[in-house]
Amino acid sequence: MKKTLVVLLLLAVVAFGCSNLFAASQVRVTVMYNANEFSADHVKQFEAENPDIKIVKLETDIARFMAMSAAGNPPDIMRFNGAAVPYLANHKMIMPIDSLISKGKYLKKDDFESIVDNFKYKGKLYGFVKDWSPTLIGYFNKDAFTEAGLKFPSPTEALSYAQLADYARKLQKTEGDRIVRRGLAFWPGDINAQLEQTLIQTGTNLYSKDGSKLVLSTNPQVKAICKFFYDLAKEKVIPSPISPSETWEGSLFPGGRIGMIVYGYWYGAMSEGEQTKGKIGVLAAPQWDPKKPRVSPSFNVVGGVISSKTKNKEAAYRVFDWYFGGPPAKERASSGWGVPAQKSLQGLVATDTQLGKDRAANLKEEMKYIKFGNSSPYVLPDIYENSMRKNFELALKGDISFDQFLVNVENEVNKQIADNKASAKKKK
Amino acid sequence: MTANITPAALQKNKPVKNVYKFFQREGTAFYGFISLWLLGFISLQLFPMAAALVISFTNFNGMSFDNTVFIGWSNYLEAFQSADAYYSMGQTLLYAILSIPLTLALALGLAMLLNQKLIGRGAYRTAFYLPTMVPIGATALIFKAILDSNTGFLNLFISLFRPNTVINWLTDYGLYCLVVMGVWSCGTQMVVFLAGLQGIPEEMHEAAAIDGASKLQIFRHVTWPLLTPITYFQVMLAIINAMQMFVPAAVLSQADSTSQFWNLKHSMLVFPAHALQQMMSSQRFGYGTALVWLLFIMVLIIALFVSKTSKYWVYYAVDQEEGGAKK
Repeated sequence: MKKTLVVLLLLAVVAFGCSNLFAASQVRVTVMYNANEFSADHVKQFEAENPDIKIVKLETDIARFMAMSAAGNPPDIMRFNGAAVPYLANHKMIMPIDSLISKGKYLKKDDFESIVDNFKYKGKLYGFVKDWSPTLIGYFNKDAFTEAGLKFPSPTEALSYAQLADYARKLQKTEGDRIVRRGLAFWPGDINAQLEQTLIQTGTNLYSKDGSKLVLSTNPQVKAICKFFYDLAKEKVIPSPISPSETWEGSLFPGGRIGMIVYGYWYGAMSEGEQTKGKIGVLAAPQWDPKKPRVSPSFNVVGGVISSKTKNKEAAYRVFDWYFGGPPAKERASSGWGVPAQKSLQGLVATDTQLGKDRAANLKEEMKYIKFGNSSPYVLPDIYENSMRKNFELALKGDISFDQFLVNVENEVNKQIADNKASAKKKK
Repeated sequence: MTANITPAALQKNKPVKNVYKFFQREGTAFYGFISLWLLGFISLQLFPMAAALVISFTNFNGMSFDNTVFIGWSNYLEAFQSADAYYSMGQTLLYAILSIPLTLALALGLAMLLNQKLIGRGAYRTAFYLPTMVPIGATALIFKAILDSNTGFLNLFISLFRPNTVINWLTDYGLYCLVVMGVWSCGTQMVVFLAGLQGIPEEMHEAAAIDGASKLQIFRHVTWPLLTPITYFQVMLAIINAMQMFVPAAVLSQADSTSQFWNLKHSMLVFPAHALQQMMSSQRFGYGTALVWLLFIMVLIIALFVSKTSKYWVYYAVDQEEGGAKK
């Protein structure tokens, strides 16, 4: 008995030692990504195919990211929006991946869609797109249209913003002040996103060319676009701080509580509910100025970047390449939740329903007109978003005038840009 | 073990004597007992506070020290010139001014009711304490369901008398909604008051009643003075909690938004949220930590003020300075 115990103990020690030796021979790559996008199954799948790499998976958490970065130990791969790339690259927090692409297995430069440029800064590619959407593509409830006596819009021909607003007003259904069915909802519901997207159609940008100034008050298009959304919000035809939805509009639309929802291509995968099965149509991205050439904007392009402080860039890139170009990319491309950023992965979404067919026809058309905006290398987009949200609420409530709303945002963001630029100079 | 060490043996062996004496010292025992706590306090509170103080004099962006420089008192001076800082501090103070008296008054009232000999007293006590045990996220959802402008129960109830009423409670009266949410969770304060009431000897109430005192007089001259030390303790805790209130505002504000949790509705923008916004949304960690330090100083001043004035309204059965009964 005693001998058996000794042998077992020795075996346990040897097994423990071996596992430690094996672990020591593995390279650890820390990935900070949303669990529903980079799942535990993805981790298992990658590790099974690449036994020399161990993925340490963290949930996306900007506070944790900041703390890890400040401590000089940021995650190797992080989920970020393309709009953050100029700031992160300018602050040397992320690394260009151009040289790594040629050594990789999956991502090939000649296969990239133009949307990948969203992750470029000063000519260098700093990250890659997970998947993306022409964000002004919408969906409409056919029953609501029939009830309002409106003709179904075409999935390939764009409405103007004025037509969209007119439809929204006709689709709005109220009982007294209570809204039974909202005419229109945008994603995300905040004014900052609507301005950013619509501005792309006008051929102008939020920031000056070098990103050193937010340009609002001197751009007449900005005022016109904001006024358009301000008026719709005042009429409560779109959700806003003065008439918020009781929950996420994306979960209200399938239940027939919203007439039209401009949520982007991705939303098509979940736009139908039990009550609305087979009754959802596709809206082509509306055009701000129908006389101008058609533009289908895309903003909030989500993807990943690699930290400039990564200790093993080859291993980090192997994970990056596998996730953004390998089996998970193919999986995403056929799910219909987003448009792939590679030409070779286009057209994998099933089109067996009328909605599927409409989505495919719509996407084929929209892809001809894709454009995206610029951002500043001196501030992350959050400050603009937050300032817009705050001041728009104040303007809607009448605490400040409409004109003051734009002036406040411009001042707040530009002050921050100036401070950040000054800090960088002081250090030099 | 130490019982075997005799004085004679100690004389022979000086180091053993010194070790013995060391462990016999009151101070050694005291520091021995608090050492673990002290370690936690130094590493998790004192050091972060000191680090935050240093950072508050810099332009640190929260992510990288590469462009970080000392900028003197700039962050503090800016805070005194910022309309947002004044607005959010005003919101925090208003929340404290409204929620503290309301919460404590309701908690005291409930405690006095539940101190009576009622049938099902235990069930009532549990029922009133329950809201305190509900997670804050669930509480926010409950309040959202009540206060939503379009489908909330409150507007539906008002609509019974005034059809199709739509009041946008969370946007127009956000801070007051937070006060109500705070008052709703007054169970902890109620339990503390209940403990205080049960510590008051029954004979004192009986003696006052025999002397002809009315119920109000008994409360005013017997119950209340004996409850003041507990009230003082509760006021202190309430001030600290109210001035730091953020999570309820974040969860109630987020119920209809997809943005980050520190981007609150303007009507619920309290000072800690403003500080967090500066750190996280604007990458102004230096300025944000300066705001947090200003909040700390503000809480300290208010707490000191309450502490200094306590001698006028807190009754101690035992004299605090001489250890005898207070005259």
